[in-house]
Amino acid sequence: MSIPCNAVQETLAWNQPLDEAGQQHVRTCEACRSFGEQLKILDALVMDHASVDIPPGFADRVMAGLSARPARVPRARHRLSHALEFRSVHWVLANIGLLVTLSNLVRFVLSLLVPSTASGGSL
Amino acid sequence: MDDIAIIRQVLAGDRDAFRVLVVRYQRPIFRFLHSYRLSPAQREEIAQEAFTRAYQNLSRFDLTRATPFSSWLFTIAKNLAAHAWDRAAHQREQLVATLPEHAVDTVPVAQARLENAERRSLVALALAGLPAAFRNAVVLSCLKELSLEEIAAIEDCSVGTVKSRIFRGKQLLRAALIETEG
Repeated sequence: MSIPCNAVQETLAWNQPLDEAGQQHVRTCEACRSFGEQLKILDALVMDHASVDIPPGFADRVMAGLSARPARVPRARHRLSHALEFRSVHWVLANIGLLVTLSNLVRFVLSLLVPSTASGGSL
Repeated sequence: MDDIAIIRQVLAGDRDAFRVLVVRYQRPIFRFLHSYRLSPAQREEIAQEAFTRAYQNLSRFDLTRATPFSSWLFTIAKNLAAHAWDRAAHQREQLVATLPEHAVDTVPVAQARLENAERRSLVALALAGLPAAFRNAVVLSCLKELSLEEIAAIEDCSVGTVKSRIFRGKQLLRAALIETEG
């Protein structure tokens, strides 16, 4: 019984097949064997609870409610156009900001080099 | 024919091919929706809406991605059901009163049917008592229609989280049923 009980019980709960060592563990471990049996009952109860009859004509009603074609919005194009639109707005805003910054920088440099420029050339 | 081939057919203009997907997934979807304590009419409405939305947005479904159509469809159904469940939250306290849709008969019923209804009601109560994430994981797992990876895609979490929720959810459910049976 080298495999811990918890590991075996988790595998049982996930409805995954046990490997040989796991099966050997269950054969010799009363707690895990009991847990497995209870899980089988539990799964059966949930399945039974979920066993529902499909309303007659359901598929017909679904089909009757559908348009002739699905909406034609190819995912890739939709994403691309959205990205372009999104990026173009940011591109314009970023460039306006850059121009304003450059303009202020030029004015600042000019004001240092030509003091009269800063004073509006009044002298 | 696999789901992707059918979706390609529908996108090419064969609307009727979508029926194959409806017929293929209607039972698992109804079974899944049954875990939400909604009226049969609400469940049908949600199931129909899920298929309709899937159809309408089919061109947005990425045919190349790893997530299969089933996960996508179940995600739509889950979101619709969760929304309806939230709307009905104030009625949840009246669960016991609304449960016996099978059991409340004014005429005598066969003992077997009554026991079956009682058992279903107990399971429904126990399921309703689980946190939504655990309930979804347990029910989707018990349906045996989806892999752990597909359930993870529906629940938008890792496979490890799904495994943990299934294990913990079943432990809680087992404890709740044992307690109920006294």
